[in-house]
Amino acid sequence: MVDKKMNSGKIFEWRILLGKIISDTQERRRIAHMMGVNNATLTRWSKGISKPRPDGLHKLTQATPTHRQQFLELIPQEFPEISMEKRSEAKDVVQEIPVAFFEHILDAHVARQPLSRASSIRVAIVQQILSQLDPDMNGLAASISVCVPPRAGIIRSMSENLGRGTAPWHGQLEYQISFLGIESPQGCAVSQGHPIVMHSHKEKMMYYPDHEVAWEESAIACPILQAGNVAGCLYISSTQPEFFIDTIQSIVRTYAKLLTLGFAPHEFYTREQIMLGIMPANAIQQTRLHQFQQRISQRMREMQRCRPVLRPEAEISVLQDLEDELLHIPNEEAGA
Amino acid sequence: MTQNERTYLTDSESALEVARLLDQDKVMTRGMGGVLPEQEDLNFSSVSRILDIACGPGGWVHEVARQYPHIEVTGIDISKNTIKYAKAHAQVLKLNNAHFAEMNALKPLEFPDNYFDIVNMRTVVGFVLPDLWAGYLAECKRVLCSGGILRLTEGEYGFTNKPAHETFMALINQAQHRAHHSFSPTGHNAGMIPMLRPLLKQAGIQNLQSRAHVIDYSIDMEAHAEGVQDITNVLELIEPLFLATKVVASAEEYATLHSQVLEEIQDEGFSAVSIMLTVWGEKP
Repeated sequence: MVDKKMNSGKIFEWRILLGKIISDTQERRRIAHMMGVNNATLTRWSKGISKPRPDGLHKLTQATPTHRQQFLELIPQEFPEISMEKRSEAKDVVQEIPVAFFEHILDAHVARQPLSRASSIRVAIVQQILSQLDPDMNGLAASISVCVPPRAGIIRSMSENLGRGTAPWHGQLEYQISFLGIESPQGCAVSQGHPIVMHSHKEKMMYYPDHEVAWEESAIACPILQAGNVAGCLYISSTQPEFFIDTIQSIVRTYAKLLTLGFAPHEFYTREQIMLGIMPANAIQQTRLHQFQQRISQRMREMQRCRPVLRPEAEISVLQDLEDELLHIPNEEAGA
Repeated sequence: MTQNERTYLTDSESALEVARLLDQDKVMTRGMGGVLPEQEDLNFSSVSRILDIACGPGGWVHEVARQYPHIEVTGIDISKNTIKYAKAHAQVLKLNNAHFAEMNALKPLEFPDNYFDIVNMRTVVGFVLPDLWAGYLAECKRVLCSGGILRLTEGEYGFTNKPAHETFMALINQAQHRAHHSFSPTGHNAGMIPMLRPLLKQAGIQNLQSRAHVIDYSIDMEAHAEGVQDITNVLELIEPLFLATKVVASAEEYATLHSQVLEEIQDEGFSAVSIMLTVWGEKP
């Protein structure tokens, strides 16, 4: 028989602590936004009117890093059945990629139609990375950037258009296009042909001051290479400093190798072709990229007047135009 | 098991279907507000076993197991590949309380009577034909303990402002109708939502309650990216069914529709929602 009685009466200490924190309305809005809940939900929790689900409690500890330890100690007083321990320190990550993960990617590689093969392989790998490296959802984001196909044989930038993340990045990375050049860790990793690891926010800002990522405390950029030729870059951010220890780096490098299956042979470029330019800051880029999909639709209609065209072809054409525009933004607009 | 014994509308063994289900699962769980959003008053400390039928790659099972480490959560699915993939994710997620088994839900379940506290299923309409529901729910009820919860979630999909997308969704309903996979008398709708309560009632489930959820995957919404991925995959997977049921005249006609849908869902004004209904009740 399933018992439906809810705990009632006593206001537990974690709720009192929450009440104190959210008495600052700005802080209440920030926490609610990070957790993806209404302001009123937090108030109801603090007053003991409603009972959060376990996932909500985990998100609360993630959204309040300065009070995280207190919550971890207090919440079990009311919910002893809920495990609030941080189970997935980097050292605890499963260090072998399961065979089933490799098989799944291989199945997708041999079975799918060319049009959707690349995106499905890339999405599956990003999902596998999040599962394996962030099992307790402490905060990890993975994205893939690809070389923008050149008009004149030289690669001038990469476009980043596929990303997934756990909280706090959840839902913020999907399909937000941006361009990366030599100013970014991805651009440097691709130009140098080897991974770049940033163990702390300070370390990253020292070398890549224009590439700040909110909530990021450490990161790795790993080029996607085949026989020395490059197709793009796998980039992973963590909310934890020093997350990318040697064993994690090794797993990331393996996933970067697996990602080569998500690219066609013609999408790999020789090192001599990689001559990345400097892209403006993301905020400036977005003022020109917000109509990206509409431009592709428009380009498709224009191209289809002459011959049948599929969306990927129109997308490449628009990417090339945008790359050119962004590389030639006047200095004053680019903030230089 | 031979393919003939299966009633799936799409190939459940394909890597593409697994990829689609993994994305769909995340969209649905998030859109519905969690794994068991309506069970706010349930004391989960009294729950020890949960079964998820047609679990796919296991997203729902993983999330329940992660949130409730004291509960043993079991997922079953007919697809060997999918179960293998679900187990691999459970392994890297270090979820010792998540279990998976390859099993045909339309045959006697390999569990004892009165075994689970909650039996859950979402979007099983793809393989449970209308005349199989009574036997199927009787078997679900058998493995559920007295006072346990039987929980069904189904949807009506793709209410949209774009013509090709609307046509595509209408053709899916028509194809399901022609394949005798639908309760809809005309094939104008998916037809499953209105049947959830009567089916559970006929199965002898009591204290029935329901809750609806809207999943908005319009161009400016968080669920759009995964919605696009889902539609892209469905477009590829469902072509054989469309041709077999003759809801399109030719592969060329399908290719044209396919291309139009892909273009529309990236359009600036694209707006679309799906409605999910969860109905649940107790075994006396």
